[in-house]
Amino acid sequence: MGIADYKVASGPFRIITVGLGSCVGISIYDTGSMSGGMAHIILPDSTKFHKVDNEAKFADLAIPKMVSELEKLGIKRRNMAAKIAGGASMFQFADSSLNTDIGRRNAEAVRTVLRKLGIPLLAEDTGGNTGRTMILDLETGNVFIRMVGKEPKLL
Amino acid sequence: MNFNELTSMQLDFLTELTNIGGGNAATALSKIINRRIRMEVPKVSLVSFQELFSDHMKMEEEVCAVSIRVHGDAPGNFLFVISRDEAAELVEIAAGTVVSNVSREIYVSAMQEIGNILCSSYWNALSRMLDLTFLSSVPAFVQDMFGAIMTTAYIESGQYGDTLLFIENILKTGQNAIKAHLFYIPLPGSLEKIFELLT
Repeated sequence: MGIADYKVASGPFRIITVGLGSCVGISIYDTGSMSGGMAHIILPDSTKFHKVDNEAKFADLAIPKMVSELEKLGIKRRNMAAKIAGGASMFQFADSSLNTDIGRRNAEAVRTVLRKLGIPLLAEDTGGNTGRTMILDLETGNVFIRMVGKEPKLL
Repeated sequence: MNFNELTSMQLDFLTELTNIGGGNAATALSKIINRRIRMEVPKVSLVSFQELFSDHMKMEEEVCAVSIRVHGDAPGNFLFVISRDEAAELVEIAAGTVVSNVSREIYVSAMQEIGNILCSSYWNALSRMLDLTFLSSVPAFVQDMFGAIMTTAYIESGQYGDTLLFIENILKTGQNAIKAHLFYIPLPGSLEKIFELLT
């Protein structure tokens, strides 16, 4: 799936989002029904913008939209669980005033949205300064994180 | 501004600008490396964010990148990107020894310097031709997945529009041909400003 996008699916599929830097990947699934979805948000808050051209860019819009798509697939909100990854700080400038904390703010916004929706956050791999790829295996509900030069790990 | 409707004059200018920038870069790199570096005529294009990830480089490919923030009349983010293997080649040429003999510190500083030279060659050309002022930051080095680096640089520029400038350089020394990618991710309004000066 792409950047600033989300996908939902039902069945023995894998959903993959590649190259999460300061962006955050959100996997929400229900192991009971082999259904779930993944979102790749790039910004925390749409309310700072006058014009929103793509709702899937923003944590505050993408996650509720994906959750309602999942509900259309017949998944009950109370059976949903989430895992998140990303929110890194990729660049370390010697001049610290140039370093932004967009990654941290993205992760924080995602946690807040999940809390509001009443979806438990089971695990997260956020922060640091490395890029991540997130893989959601709908058959098992397993979420794997892949980083450069490392074995994929189970989240 | 619709970048699909640039005039032929504007596009010619862009090509000319990259020729000058590329020429400056080759000369400056040859001096610091103390070896003749030739550069093919750089290819310049305006690409959209989405195109970039589907066409140009693999999202998960491990690359070395140097980010330089530019302030002044057309603020933005310059990003110099090179594959991990080609970065090692370039450092070997610069250091005159195999990469295993080069400390991490020297490696990073060599990459930063090369990134700095490439980027500044282009914005010097731009500032001279258009009388724009650029002030640059000290570079930051990162080695990771291309996709993670590129999206982060893009978001950190506050650039939520879609178009960025992509310059593809091919550096040649002897038998080696090294692909060096350069991206100018403009802050909102910067690219418009540059093209408006050309109308």
